[in-house]
Parts: sequence; C-alpha cells; structure tokens
Amino acid sequence: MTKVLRRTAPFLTPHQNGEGGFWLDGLTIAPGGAPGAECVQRVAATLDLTSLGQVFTADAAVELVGEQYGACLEFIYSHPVWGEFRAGRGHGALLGYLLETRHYLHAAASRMAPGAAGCYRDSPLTRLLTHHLLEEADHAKYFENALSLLGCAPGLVRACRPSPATLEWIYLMRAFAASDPLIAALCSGLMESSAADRGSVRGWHELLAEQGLLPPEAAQAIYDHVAIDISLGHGRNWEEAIHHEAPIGARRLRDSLNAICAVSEMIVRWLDCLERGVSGDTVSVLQALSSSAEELNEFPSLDQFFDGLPVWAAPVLNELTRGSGPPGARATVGAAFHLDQRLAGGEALGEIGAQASELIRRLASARRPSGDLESTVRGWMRSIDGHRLWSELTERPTLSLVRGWLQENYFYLASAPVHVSSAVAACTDPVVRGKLLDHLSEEHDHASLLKDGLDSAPDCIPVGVCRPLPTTVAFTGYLRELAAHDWKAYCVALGYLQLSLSAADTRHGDFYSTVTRLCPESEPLLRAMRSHDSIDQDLGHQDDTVELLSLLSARHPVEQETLAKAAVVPQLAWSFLDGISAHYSRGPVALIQRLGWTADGAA
Amino acid sequence: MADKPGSSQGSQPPAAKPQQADLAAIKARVRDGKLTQDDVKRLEKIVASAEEAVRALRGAIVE
Repeated sequence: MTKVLRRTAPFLTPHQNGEGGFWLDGLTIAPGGAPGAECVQRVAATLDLTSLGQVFTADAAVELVGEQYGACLEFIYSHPVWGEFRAGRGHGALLGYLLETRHYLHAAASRMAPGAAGCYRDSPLTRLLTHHLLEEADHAKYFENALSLLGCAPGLVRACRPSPATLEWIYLMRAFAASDPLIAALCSGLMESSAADRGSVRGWHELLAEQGLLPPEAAQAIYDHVAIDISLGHGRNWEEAIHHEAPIGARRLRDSLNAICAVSEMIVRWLDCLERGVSGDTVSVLQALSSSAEELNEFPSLDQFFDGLPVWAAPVLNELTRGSGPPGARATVGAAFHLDQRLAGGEALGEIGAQASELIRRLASARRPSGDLESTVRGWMRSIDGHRLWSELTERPTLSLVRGWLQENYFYLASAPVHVSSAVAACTDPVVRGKLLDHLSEEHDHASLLKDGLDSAPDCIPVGVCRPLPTTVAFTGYLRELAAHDWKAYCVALGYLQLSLSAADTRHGDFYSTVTRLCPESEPLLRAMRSHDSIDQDLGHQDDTVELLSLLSARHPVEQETLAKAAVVPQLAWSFLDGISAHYSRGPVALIQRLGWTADGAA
Repeated sequence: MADKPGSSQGSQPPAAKPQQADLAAIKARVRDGKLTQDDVKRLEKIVASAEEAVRALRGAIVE
C-alpha cells in the first residue's frame, strides 16, 4: 500500500556523501542530490494553507499541527546520537545533554513568559500560558540532581555558561513566544509532545542505566522531570490552546507551523553540538573542580543567558561547538568558556586550568570593559573575525552558500524596522531617540535591495516562501527584545553591528572580489550585497555609529550589566553566521529545503 | 526527550572508538590536570588561528 505522507515542511538530514538529504516525513528524496522542479512544486502545493481554507476550525488546526509534530519528532529522533545511546555509546554527548538541558530548563520561566506577556487581554490562553510557565519554573532541579549524583556541585553547575547552541535555542523560543501567544503554546507543545509515547520514554531512561551510561539514580532523577510533566498534563496544552483561539486564520496558522519546524531544526542542531562539542568534557571539569571548590554563591546576579561577557574569538566558539581535538584540549576549551572567571578555584585543574586561563587572557575580551565604548565594541569583532563562513566563502565558495548567505541576510535586514522601532519605543532620551529615528529612516527598506537580487536569479525559489534559519530568528529576536528591555545595551550592540563594516578596512572589498573570482556565477548576488554595504558607507553610518556611542556615554552611565547584555549580540552574530555555514554548505538541496508553509492567498 | 525505537535513519556508521574509553581518558586527564603534546599543539593552533583572524578577509553584518 502506498504510504500517504504527513503534511510537513521538508527537513535536511545528513547523507553519506556529505550533502543533505531532502527529507519529507521519513522519506529521503533524491539522496545526495536535489529534488526536481516538479517535486518541489508538489511539495509547495501541499504547504499552501489557502488551498485548504482561509480559516481553520479547532479540529482542522489540531490535525495539521499534530501531523507536523509527528514529522518533526521523526526528524529529531532520527538524529544519529539516539542510536549511539541505544548502543551504549555517546557518553560524552549524554553528559553534555544533562548539562545543557539543565541550562535550557533553568531559562524556562524567562523564555516562556513572553508568551503570556504578549497576550492582549485576559483570556483562557493567557491563563494557560501563565500556569504552564509557573509549573515549569523550577524544573532545572531534576537535571541539577542528576549532575549532583555525578559529582558536580550545584553551585558550579549554576555558575556555568550555556553552550552557544543552548543560547540559540533559548533565544529562539523567546522570540517565538514573544511573536504570538498561540505560537508560544505550539512551540512549547512540540517539546511536551515528545513525551507522549510514555512506554518509549520510560524505556529510554531505563536503557541509560542498563547500558551503564548513567547510574540508575541519575537516570531516575531526569525521568522524574518527564513524570512530573506528564502528571501536570503538559502534553495536551497545545490542543487546549488551539481550542481557545479557534477559528484560526491561515496566516496565523502558517506562522505557527513554520515556527514549529524551526524549533525542530534547532533541536537537531543542538544535538549535533552535543555530539561534537565540548559540553560533555566540561562535566568532567566540573567533577574535578567540585571536589576542591569552596561553596559558591547559589546564583549569579545576572543570569548566564543574559551575560555575553567575555566575548570569545570565533575559532574558540567553533572549537566549543564541533571540536575534534584531543581530550585535554577539549577540557581546556570547555573550562575556559563555560567557567571563565569561576576558574579562580582552578588550581585543582593543574595544567588544564593554567592553559584555560591563558586562553581567556589571549582570546577573550575583557570581562569588565574599562575603555571607551567604541574600542570595547571593536574588541568584540573577534566573534566574527576568522569565522569559518568567511573561510568557506573565500576559499571554496559555492553558489548555494553565497545565495544562502544573502537569503539569511535578507531576513536579518527585514527585521531592522522591528528592532529599531523597539529601541525608539523604549528610549527615554530624546536626543538619542532622534539618532535612532535617523537610523530607522535610513535602514527600514534595505531588505528590498537583497530581495531584488535574490528573486531575479534564474530558477530560484522566491524568498517570500522561504523560512529563515533558526539561528537567524534567535539573532534577530534578541535584537528586538534587547531594544525593548535595555535601549542603552541596544545602542552598544548597534555599534558592534555597524562597526563590523569599516570604511578604512580593505578586507571587505577584497572579500567580495575574491569570492567573485572563485565563483563567477555568484556575481549578481554579491553585487546586491556589495551595493547594500556601499549605501551604508555612503550614508556615513560608521561616523554616525561612533557619534551615537559617544553621545550615549556622555549623557548616561553605561553599567556593567548593560555591556553584558549587549555582548550577547556578538555571540549570536557568530551563531547567525555559523548557522548559514552549517546549512548552506550542504549543496543546492539546502536552498530548496527552506520551503515553508504559505498562505499567500489568505484574505 | 524520549527515544523512539526504530526511528533511527540507520545510515550512520558506528563510531570508531567506544565513547566510554574517550570519556575515561578525559576524566583521567582532568583529574591529574596534565596535558599532552597533542593537547598543547591543538591549543596553540586555536590561538594562532584567532590571532591571525584580525587580518583575514571577511564580510560584515551591517543592517
């Protein structure tokens, strides 16, 4: 019997020849290649919600979301790391899973609250979201308990910085929660529905103990989290949310479904980083430190996921995320990044501690910047200097990678009106607000420069039906919320973004000419990007930026906490570029895979 | 998140070395705090790469 596929956006899975597999509900189409135009058109047609209706009843929405969940979970659980666990391997990835899940759960109330905060009025959905976040607020304790059973002192675990991928995930969820309360509920629902198959969930936790991957009591500690969520009925919240909000318009449902897909792509990226990154090695560092560390304060005064200091050099962030070095080097990098100044107790780490301190001294920005703002943000350029994306573009560029880079930059530029407006709304200083308004007037339409270049390419999928990468959403989402909750930090971050293009620096011009020489067919696309950069230079944005930073520091104290929050932007900028590199280096299929749900014919 | 039996793609080759051996090496290395020559070379390479990066060609992230 022919299997009827679930309606789902396509995903991209690893394939044996290194390129992506176009994956649709468990079916890989044209493995190692790309599906043909007719196939793409048929997939696009299934994702056009207006072919089904303009408005959706609760039952219809539940069916569509439920199908998408099923496909997403199939995608997530096809990641090779689960097979490693079943085989009794992947111990490092599992330890990383414990640590990073703890950080993700610790941020639960903070990242879920924007959903309830965005409700226009008191409603059943408002109450549902509020109850859910209250019930999730302290669930990090289950993973802290497990790590404690492994010899990691809770105070040290709480002092640990989340990995770049965990930070991306936190900010992706925040961005979606803030966009629409229904999207908040449905993104959360994807996570909760992963526990629906209770037999499998119980079996997995038992397997961890049976395979010797975790002591039984540690496996039980993390299973307790699942058990409490099941007892609280979290797995059905998403259906309840749909019933409260129904009937649902096609565009709102489109945005919800695309958000769900982005979350599943983020989780797969996170699993990649657990498998290859150094979080698991960091657990070993925590174990070693815990035996000799003095009792630390329970929680830092600024939560780790709000604190981007110190800013790290791009090669270090790359090593953290996909390090392939020997064990001692991995532990050193993990200790330096995840614990930085907490290494004051690092004498217990011997040479590893000494080398970690050396890495901090040479490759991390100042923990407490003391110079002027311009020199501080210029020092933060280390997060994009030497990024592997630039190496790929200047050494072995492909048309897919160039187009993907441009496409994500389109989504980034298209977000400018939102985050600059957010800053204008929040800014309490009329003079600085005037500067932000000038910036808004100059920038609000820059995305169209790239869109014209993208859509004029032959045989392209129009950017209007494509989805941004989750790393792009996390980056732009943070800019919006930073502007809303600390406009001074936003101004500092704006300085970082604008000063990444320096008029006196020939690296940018040489960059474009090198890529064009190696990949001549990308020239029309690069022309669009270069044109945008030139316009910014002609507008004098560099001078404006320096003036803004001077104005800010002359008129206002810029506190350490403001700088720390602004410094999250360099790390998410690294993530923005890394997401582009990781995805679009996988060939033409990576572009086609960005097809999303549409509602173009919606009223 | 839970595992789902039979949901693996099955196309990934098994790891060349058991993870437990690597993890034991990491734990032993961290406990005694010592680094090998390979560790030091890797760290030096990271530092050199980062310090050279200020001159490397790159694009920008202007709005």
